[in-house]
Order: sequence, then structure tokens, then C-alpha cells
Amino acid sequence: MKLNVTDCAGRLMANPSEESVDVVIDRVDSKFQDHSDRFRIVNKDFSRQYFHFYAERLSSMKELLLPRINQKWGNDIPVKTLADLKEDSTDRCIIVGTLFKHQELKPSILKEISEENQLVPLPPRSEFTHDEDQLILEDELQRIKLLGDLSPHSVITGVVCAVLGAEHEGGKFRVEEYCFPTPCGPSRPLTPPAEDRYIVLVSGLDLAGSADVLFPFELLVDWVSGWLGDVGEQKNQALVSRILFAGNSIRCKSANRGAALQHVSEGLDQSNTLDAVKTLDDFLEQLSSNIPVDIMPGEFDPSNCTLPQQPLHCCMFPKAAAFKSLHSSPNPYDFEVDGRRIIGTAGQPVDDIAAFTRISDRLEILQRTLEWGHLAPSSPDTLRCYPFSDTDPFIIKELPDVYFVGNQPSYQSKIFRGDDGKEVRLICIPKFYLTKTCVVLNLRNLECHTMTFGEPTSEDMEVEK
Amino acid sequence: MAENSEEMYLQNIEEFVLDEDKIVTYKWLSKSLNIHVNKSKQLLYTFCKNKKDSVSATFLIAGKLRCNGECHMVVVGQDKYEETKSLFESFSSEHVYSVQKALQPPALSTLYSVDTQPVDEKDGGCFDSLGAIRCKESVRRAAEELALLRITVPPPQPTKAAPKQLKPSGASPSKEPKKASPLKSKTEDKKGNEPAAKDKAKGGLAAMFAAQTSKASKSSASSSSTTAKNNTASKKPGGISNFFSKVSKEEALQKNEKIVIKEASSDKSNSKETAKGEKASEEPRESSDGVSAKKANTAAVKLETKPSPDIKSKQQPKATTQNKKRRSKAQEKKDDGKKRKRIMQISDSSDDEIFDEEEKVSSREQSPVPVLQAKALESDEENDEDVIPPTPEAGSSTGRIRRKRKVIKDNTFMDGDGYVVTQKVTEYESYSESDNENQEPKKMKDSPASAVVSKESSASSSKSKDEKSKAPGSKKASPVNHKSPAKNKQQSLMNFFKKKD
Repeated sequence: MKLNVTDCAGRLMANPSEESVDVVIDRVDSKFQDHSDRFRIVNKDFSRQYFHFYAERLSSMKELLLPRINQKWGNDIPVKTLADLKEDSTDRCIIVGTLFKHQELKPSILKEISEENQLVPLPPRSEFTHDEDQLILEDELQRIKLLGDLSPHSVITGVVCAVLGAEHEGGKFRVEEYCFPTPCGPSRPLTPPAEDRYIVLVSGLDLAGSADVLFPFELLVDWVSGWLGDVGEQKNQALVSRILFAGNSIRCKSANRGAALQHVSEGLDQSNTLDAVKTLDDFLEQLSSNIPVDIMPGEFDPSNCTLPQQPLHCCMFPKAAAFKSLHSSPNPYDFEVDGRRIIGTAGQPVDDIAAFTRISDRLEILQRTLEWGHLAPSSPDTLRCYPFSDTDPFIIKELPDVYFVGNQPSYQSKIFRGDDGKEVRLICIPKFYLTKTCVVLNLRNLECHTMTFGEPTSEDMEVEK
Repeated sequence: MAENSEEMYLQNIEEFVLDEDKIVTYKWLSKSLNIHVNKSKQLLYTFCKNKKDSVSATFLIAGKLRCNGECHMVVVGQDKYEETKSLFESFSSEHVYSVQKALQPPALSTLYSVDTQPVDEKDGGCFDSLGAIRCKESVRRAAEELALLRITVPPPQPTKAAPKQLKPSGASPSKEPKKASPLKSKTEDKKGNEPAAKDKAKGGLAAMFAAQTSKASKSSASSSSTTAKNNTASKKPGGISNFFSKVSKEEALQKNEKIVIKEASSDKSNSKETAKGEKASEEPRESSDGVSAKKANTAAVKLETKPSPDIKSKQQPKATTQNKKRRSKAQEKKDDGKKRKRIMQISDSSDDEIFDEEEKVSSREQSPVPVLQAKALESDEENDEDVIPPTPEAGSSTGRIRRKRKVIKDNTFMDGDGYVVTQKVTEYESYSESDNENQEPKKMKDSPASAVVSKESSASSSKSKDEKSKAPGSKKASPVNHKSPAKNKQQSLMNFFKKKD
């Protein structure tokens, strides 16, 4: 948001005068459309296994891949299945399949059980990569080990990929080049708004866990709903057309991490959670009486734990739900506002990939998932997920305008440029309870900046020096 | 603005701050005096300028930081005001946030609690009028709409809950009564010869006799899906009309359905059976969902029409020949078996291919089946191929019904020491009157709970005969696992040891 309103600042630092400051501004209208129906699960059937899910992912992403293969490598090299590979032939060919990363350190229930017998609790791991990790490519029928360029530490199980190369001795495949099903721009371009329009993105309030988040959050709410600030500030805020809570509004950490085996202890935190929900309801009431609000569930919110997480039920927010402007959305969330297509998750996929690869930069992970064309490639392998059978809703078929992820350690953002020049704004929304920071995105030009509610930290000050 | 009102407001503030020793924030002031927020900020400013010596203020500063150009919004006490202000490169906002008597600025969390206070006075209703921004889209929902919102979720829940319960529940006989009851109405209407009346009187035990009814009910439950209804509606008229009047039939069916549904939703924990039944019903629905309801529908119709004649013919003889007790038992078993079997299917996609095949087929067919079955039962005697739903189940069930007998056999063998030993061994042998397809020796126990028999029948229902014959065996293995299988194993184990002795 531009801060060219300094002339207005200070007008309220004066005695009440004839010049009225009792302005009431109408908030901008916005066109909004929810495209998240594919994430809403109507029939819940957990009896299936995940085979169909992978099969469906492979087949539909193969379709997306073939044109890209053509574009990248031409028509000369045959696209084969693993079954077509003949021994001793070293012809170059292309194989499309799902990557599987063999990881020594991957948590395994069998291992856990066997270790339980020794009664020595192992320290929980947060990193699961190992130098010995191997990449395996699976097509519809077979699998083959991959050698070559493609580093196991830069990809994750579940990514669909085309590899160009030849079979190597020992039943391995030497990869020369590879290609991911990166989506192209939308087939139906949207028209972005001609004037400044903003949306505010917040994640990780952790109302149940952090008491010191209340006041900054109140500032945020007052700011967005036009209570705080100078007249100029308020005019700017009237241009904010939506506010989105990208998960973990109620809780940011597992209530009983480390005590997973003690089911009894679960009840202890409930009153805490209840209070937090009530508090959130109060805040949401003020917000939704003033601005359209989207609220997504996050990893630790009281929703289901499998992706896609279903919307928080409106009964949780009896006061706020009285307004039509409260919009409870699933996670991941796909919507369109004022001519911008926005997709994002509350952070689980990116966190998961961070734990299972050696890509440490969250923004880069976010970009990778876009290149891989999949919101949550590591589900269902290491990320809990509903067993879809006939569709994979997480596939990104077209590039959105904005691709966000919530609950990240710090704010990061950049523009990703697709092959056809389509620009995508990538945003890592920081955890509010840690940073007291929200993200403000201008829908007109996709510029974004942060707003922090609190004094600058000493680190910020050091930047100065 | 009139000077007077301003004076009044200032006096108010003075009262709040100096007399009542309150922390007055602009927000609280705005709410309690019902004035615009910007005005309350100005009033606070005036007030603390006038009373510099006796009060302290906190200020809100917002703007761009000098150090990194990021936007910050800070609330600081007046002692740090200048210092903080120097950090900013440019300002977007600056105003008094609160005024209080204490010279030390209050903790920020205190400010928060101040702001939440007035809410109970005014009940939070004043948000819209006092702020600087109004939003057209924020409209309160009508009461009805709210009510609707609250309701939207429930329907799927019971079904969801069901699956979990299924497994542990196994086939508990306790279920029967419940199911039987809904069926009764139907049975009474249609089958005079059925022991429905008895059922009622006897309660739990009697319910067992109502096996047929229970079956019907189950089917109806599963049929609750719209497809089933459609089928019935379209097909019914012809077939049954001969025997009973259409109307009565349909009515009965509907009744059944309703009742079953009610039950299912109302008591999850109550009866495991219902849960099972529901699940069973759910499964077909879901699986078919994937394919799309249409497909399922059409497929069902096809299936129905074809197999019906055979099935019926088979069914009839059986039903008539057997005495009531047996029949009811068998059917009951069937019922259980069906349920169990389905459960098994759902739970473990595991073992054999046959299983998979079956699942597919059954899933397609099953949704329509229930209604049909009901019809079939009624219309058994008439073999019209016409509209009467083919009831693949019925066919399978009739043909397949297997009963078990307890048989004591002499088992002679040579033991390790070369002695010939003869033992009497109790075994369960399955036999079926009408169908000789299923000759598989069953060594299951005959306890009423053992659903093995029924399983087969249900499983086979969806399949054509040939398939059926195969299917039952394979299925059996999987579904059995509750009581009977365990027993089975034990027995055989015992045998083993005995032999060695």
C-alpha cells in the first residue's frame, strides 16, 4: 500500500475543529468466486487405498506433460513405458512416471514398532534426508532406479516427471534431462482490476497458544476495518476487498507434541481451544461486519487432519457467521477475486517438502511445487491425504495469478514467470504470532508488502547499520 | 460541531480518566460515547494536551521504517514517542491511542482488555456505525439461512461414522431386533406366511425368524440412494401388480426406507447392525458415485432385468421347502454375512482378485438391489420377468443359501507311534437344497452369529451364476474372520494336536 498520504497523517493530532473528520467510506466492491469445490469432500470413504490416487495423478499429469515434452525435446525421441525398455539397447528414450524417493530415514510404522520394543524413545526427527537416498521412477507397471542429474534431494516422492535418457547397465536408467509438468497460463485470461485493490493475507494467529498475539491482532483487525489510523489510512483500507486467514488461526503447534501416546492428555487443552475459538469469533465478527473474510483451516486447527481440510463449520463462529461476508473455505483454497485467480495452502505441503528434501528456502519450495504442477506432491506418501480415486484435485493445471502458502517462518515473495510469460506472485505468509506481520497484496499489479504490528525488532534495526 | 458537545465529551473523558481511573482508548471512547472513531481520537488529543501534567498518553504511529522500508504500526507510550518516531521515514498515521492516569504507559495486553470491555455494554452491535469504513457486502444472514447453514453438514456424518464401527462390531445378534422391526410392516403387508407377527411378540429371538424381512430392510436401506428409488418407481408397477396392488407395495417400501434411514441416523452407537447396514448401503453409493450415478443406474437396471428369472425360480423352491425356523436362520445368516462381507471388502482391498472383481460388480449393482430384493421377496411366486427387479441378490441368496449342520464324524488316522486312532470330531457341514453349486465343505460353527453362510450369498448376489460359484469361496475366506473363522481355526488346531497324541 502506498504511503503517499503523509499530508493527512497528523490531522487527528489536533483539536476537534469545524473540518469534519467523521468520514465514512464505502469499501470497494469486489467480485468474488470460489473455485474450491473440488476440495470439498461430499462422500467420505476412507476404505480405498492410494493406488488409484497415484494412478490418476500419473495419467492426468502425463497428458499435461506430453505437449511439454514435444516442446522441449521435439518429436524425435520416443516416449516409452518401462515395459518397452529392452535390455542391451542404449537408445535414448523418454519415460514418464512418478518419482519415488527411497529414503533411509523416512518414518516407517514398522520401524517404530520394532524400536518400541527396545523401549528407547528416539528423538523426533525433523530432517529425513540422507546421503544414500535414491530416486526411483515408477510408471503404470514397473519401476526403475534413476542415475544422473536429477538429485534426490531436490525432488520428492509423488512428483510426476518425464526423464530423457537411456537404460544403463544393471537395470538403471541414466537421466540426461528431465521435464516437469509445469502448467501454462490460464486458457481464459482474467482481467485484473484497473485500480488499486488489495487483499490482506494472514496466517498462524495461534490464539490458543500465544497470549501476546491478541493486541497486535486487534490492531490488525481495527486497521483493516477502518478504526485505526488517519483519514488517509482509512481511505486506503477501504480499498482492501478481502482478508484471508490462511490457517492455524486457533493453534500453531500441536497441543501435545511429544506426548502422542498419551491419549488421555488430549482433553486438557480443550478449554484453551474453546476460549481461542470464542476470541476468534469476536474478532471475526468485527471483521465480517466490515469486510469479506475467508478463513481456512490449518494443520493444527480443529478440522480434519487429512488434506484437503474441510472448512471450519460456521457453528464454531456463531457471531461472525451471522454475516454473509464470513466465508469458511477449505484448505487448499482456490478462488478468484477481482479478476485474479488465487490458490494456496495453509502450509503443510511446503513444510513437508522442507523436511524431506534439502531445499531449505520456503519460497523456492513453493516455486518447485508450481513447477511440478502439484499443490501437495508428497501426499499421500508423507502427507496425510484423502484417498481420492478418480481425480487428483491438487494438480495445478493452469498457472494462477497468486500462489500463496501460509504459516511460514518469515515473509518471502517473488514473481515466478511461466514459459509463456505468465507471471505468478508467490507469497510465503509468515506466522503472525511470531512476526506480527501480515501481507498486503495489490491485485492490480500483484505487488505486495508487509505490515507489522509492533516495534521493529533489533534485527530490523541492524539492517540499518 | 457544537462547542457544547465537545465540552461535554471532554468532561466525560475527565471523569473516566481522573475519577474512575480508567484507561481510555479511542475505541472504547468511541463506543461508549457513540461517536465516530476519528473524533474520539481528536478528543483524546485535546484532553491530554489540556491535562498534560496529570495524565499520560499512548500513541499509535504507522508508517515506513527508515531502516528497511517496511511498514510498521506501533503503539508506544509518550515517553518513547519521540524516540520511536525517529525510526520512521514517513508516516501514514499518527494519533492518540489511549489516555490514562498512570504515568507509566500500560502494557499492551491491558489495552487489549480495555477494548474488549465495552462489548458487553453495547453488545458489539455498533461496529458498523462508528468506524470509517462501511461494507455493503457485510449483510447479516436471515435467521432461516443461518439455520440452514447449521444443518448442511449432518447428513454425511452418520454414514461416515458407520464405517468405523463396522469392523469391531462384527455380527452381533443384538442387531437383529432393530432391523426386524422396520421390516415387519413390510412383511406383514406382503407375506402372510412370514412369521412377522411372531417376531413382534417374541422380540429379539423372534427377530431371527424375520430374516427375510431383515434382508429386505437391509436392501431397502441400501436402496435409500435415489437410484434405487427410481428403479423401483419405474419398474415396480408391472411385476408386482399381479400379486399385490402396486400401491400397497410402494407404500410399504417407502415406509421401510424411511424407517431404516431414521434408525441409521438416529442411533449410531445403538445398533451395530444399523451401522453395518448403513455402511453397506454407503459403499455401493460411493463406489458408484465415482462412476456417476447415471452409470450405476443403468447398470443396475440391466443387471436386474437379466438375472431375475433364474433367481426367482431358485428362491422360491427353497423358501417354500424349508421350514420357517431354518429359513429364517439361514437368511439371517445371510444377512449378517452380507454385511460382514461388505465390510471386509471395504476394509481390506487385499487378497484375491476375485474379490476385487466382485467388489466392482457388486458396487455397481448393489444400490438398486435392495428395492428389488424386497420386491423379489414378495413376488417370488410370480416369475414375470417384466418389471420386477432382477434382484441379483435374491438370485444369489436363494441359490446360494447354505445351511450348516453339525455332523459328528469319525476320524481315523495313524499317529506318530503307529497306533491307529479313531476320534469323533464335530464338524460343520454346509449343504444347500436348491443349489448344489456350493459344495464347499464348511467347517464353521453353526452358532447363529456365524455369518459365513450369509456372506457367500450376499457376495454372489451381484454376480452371474458362474461367478457366484467362485466368488463365494473366496469371499468366505475373508468375511469369515469374525467369530466363526477363529473357531474354525482353533478346532482344526485342536485336531492337529489331538492327532499327535
